[in-house]
Amino acid sequence: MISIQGLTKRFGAQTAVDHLTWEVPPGMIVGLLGPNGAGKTTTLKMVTGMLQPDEGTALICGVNVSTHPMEAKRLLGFVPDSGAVYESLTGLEFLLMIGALYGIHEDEARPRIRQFLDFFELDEQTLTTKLLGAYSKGMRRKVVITAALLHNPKVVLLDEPLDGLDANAAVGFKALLETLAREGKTIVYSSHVLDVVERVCNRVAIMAQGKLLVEGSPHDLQHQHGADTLEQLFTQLTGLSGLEARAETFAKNMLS
Amino acid sequence: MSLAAENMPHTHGRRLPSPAKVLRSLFWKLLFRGRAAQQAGAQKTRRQMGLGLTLFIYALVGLMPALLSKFTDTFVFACTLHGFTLMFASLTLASSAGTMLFMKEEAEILLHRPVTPQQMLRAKCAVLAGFAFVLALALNLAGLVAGPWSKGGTWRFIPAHLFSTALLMLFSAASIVLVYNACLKWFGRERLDNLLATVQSLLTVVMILGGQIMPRVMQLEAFKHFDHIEAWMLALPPIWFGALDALISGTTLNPSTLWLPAGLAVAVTALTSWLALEKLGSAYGQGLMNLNESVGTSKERTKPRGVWLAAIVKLPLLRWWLRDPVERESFKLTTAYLFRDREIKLRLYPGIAPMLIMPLVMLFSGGKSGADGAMMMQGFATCFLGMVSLQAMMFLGCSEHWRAAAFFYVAPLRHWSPLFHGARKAVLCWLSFPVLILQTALICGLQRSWTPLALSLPAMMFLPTFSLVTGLMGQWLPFSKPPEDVKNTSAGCLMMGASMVAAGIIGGLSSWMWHIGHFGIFLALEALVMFGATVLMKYLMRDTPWVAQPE
Repeated sequence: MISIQGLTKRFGAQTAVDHLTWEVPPGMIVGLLGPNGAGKTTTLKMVTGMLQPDEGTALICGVNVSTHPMEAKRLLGFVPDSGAVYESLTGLEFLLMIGALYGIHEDEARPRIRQFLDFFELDEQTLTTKLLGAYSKGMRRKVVITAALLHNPKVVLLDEPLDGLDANAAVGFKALLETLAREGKTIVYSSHVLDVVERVCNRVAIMAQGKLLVEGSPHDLQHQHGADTLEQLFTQLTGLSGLEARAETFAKNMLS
Repeated sequence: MSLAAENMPHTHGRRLPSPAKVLRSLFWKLLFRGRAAQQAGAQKTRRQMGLGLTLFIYALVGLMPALLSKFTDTFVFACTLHGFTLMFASLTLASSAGTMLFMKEEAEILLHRPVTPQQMLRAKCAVLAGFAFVLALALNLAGLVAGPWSKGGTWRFIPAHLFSTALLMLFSAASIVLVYNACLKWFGRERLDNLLATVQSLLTVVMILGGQIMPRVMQLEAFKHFDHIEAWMLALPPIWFGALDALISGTTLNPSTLWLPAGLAVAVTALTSWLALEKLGSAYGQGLMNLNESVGTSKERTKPRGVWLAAIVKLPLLRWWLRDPVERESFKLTTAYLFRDREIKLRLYPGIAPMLIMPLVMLFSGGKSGADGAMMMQGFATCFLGMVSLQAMMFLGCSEHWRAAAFFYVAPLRHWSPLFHGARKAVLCWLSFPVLILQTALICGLQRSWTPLALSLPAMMFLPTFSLVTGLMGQWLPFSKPPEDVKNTSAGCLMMGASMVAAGIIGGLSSWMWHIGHFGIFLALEALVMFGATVLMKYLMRDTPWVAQPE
């Protein structure tokens, strides 16, 4: 599980994450929502140990990320939204290298990679012969997801994981997440695509201006705030109400 | 058992490679293959051939100091070899270190994995030092064989020189890592980019100048009959490492004078390595994160960008020159990239540095053959600047952001030529003309005469026409190809060669016409020819069709 207490990150005068306190229980898929610049990615980067918080702590299964980063990093898998990879390695070289960093021997890593290969319907020849720079966006995303799950982490953090995946792969991946959650893994799913979050996640957390606004099951939150849909709840909480009227006015002005 | 330990996979008694070893193996691969590649096979072969050729050239360059061995003391000989090594191998290292140390996306690939930033930095430093050592070995191959025959030399020179060279490369790698890392920590990303581009450009310049100066230094008598170390020499790293060689292998010099420089070699290497890898190593992770702009930096920019550029294009002369709106926007885009884009700066400026420095080398070489020779060389040198625009346009056609060129393909443009002309004019405005003016001012100052000003006029007329040549090679759009596509195609090389010959002819003719007193007629004729050539080239360019976006 993830336990965050008073997590704060400032970039100069700007506070990206402001005293965030949040608990993510095991066996849950929690959607992390928020408008651009809400602090979602910065939060995930602090939880993964990529960024040092200015204040507060983040614990992964009880392990403090700031004081014991290596132990905490072994417990988590992260899919960054950039989908960055070393483009001059082949897919297989990249995955074996990542496996080795987690202490997985090549003999053990290969069959695991094969399982992911089958699951994502990745072509083995492509994985062994082509450099990652030549992969399509979707294929690259599949490799990044494989790299995040290869060591069977207890906590999985996903930042826009479906970006670039085709419909079939996306459906399969969502089913995989549900299975992983049932096995007791903690999953945080950060995305802008509200309907996917609504379908996949048991709970949602909505952030704005570095603060956690609400957290709970989508149904309960909608009920509490008198919203019919998650989208309505989101726009209501993040101060973006009246968007339809604004769009209408804008379109009229643009066309005139 | 802790949870983290529980999560470790079972190794079943098999020996796992350490993270340090995994990282070293990764960075070796990246160093040889480059950061980004499209095709495995072709790239690999090209890179292997490139490395083989570099090693061969280094081995050839190493023959030059090796010839000295019989005439000099072991200490002087070792210092010469270390001087060459520092100049060539270390400088090559400095130019490739920036790419390895500061890969923008690396934070998102590795920093959330169970490896520390220090482990990453140590692995990179080890790979850089190892790579530099391979280059140094090629450079010192002849010297290693010749060393035992130097005055006071013994067979011990070979292991001694191998050891001191390895230490020198460690010192070089650690120094480079220290400087880049300190700069990233204290000055931020943008200044680091400028520093990297400046360092790489300077290195190219130093290597070219060094190639001119070193042979002259080696011919000095004082160099051949060296007998003691002056205090100022202790500031030179080759002296420290040369002293190590001499102490181990034997020398005609008094060994007691060598202990201090030899001690400095060991102490400074240890101190630099500690500072680079331990003291500043922990800040490396934060530095990598800062490279990624989306994370934000400590100093927020408050002033809007591009205000000066918007003002400049409104100046009467530029407003007329850039009267086509598409040309004007292409000019602004190219200017922004010339000054702001990290990748363009790192490729372009070191790439055109030889074009900028060669004319000066020509001038100084020509100066020794009297006033006529100097005049002839100025003619060549100024016209040689035409190469700058050709080379720059080749670089500016490629960018990491090549996918954004889709906007050009979907925009309702009749032809690609306004985009080409806008970029070409930016190159003339910010690179070719300023360098020509600077070069002419320098020559005027050195010769205390206004004649060079007149002799720069043919180049001033010639440069705009020359900048059109790239457009004859087919459709050209700014930043529309991946960076890997920057290569000298056979057509490009042919154009470059033909342009160089044309530059030489115009340069030679201009100085000869000046000499015989018909410079005015020459200028008028050149203006006519250049006008005709410009019209013809623009016509040919208009005939090159606008092709849809390639796959």
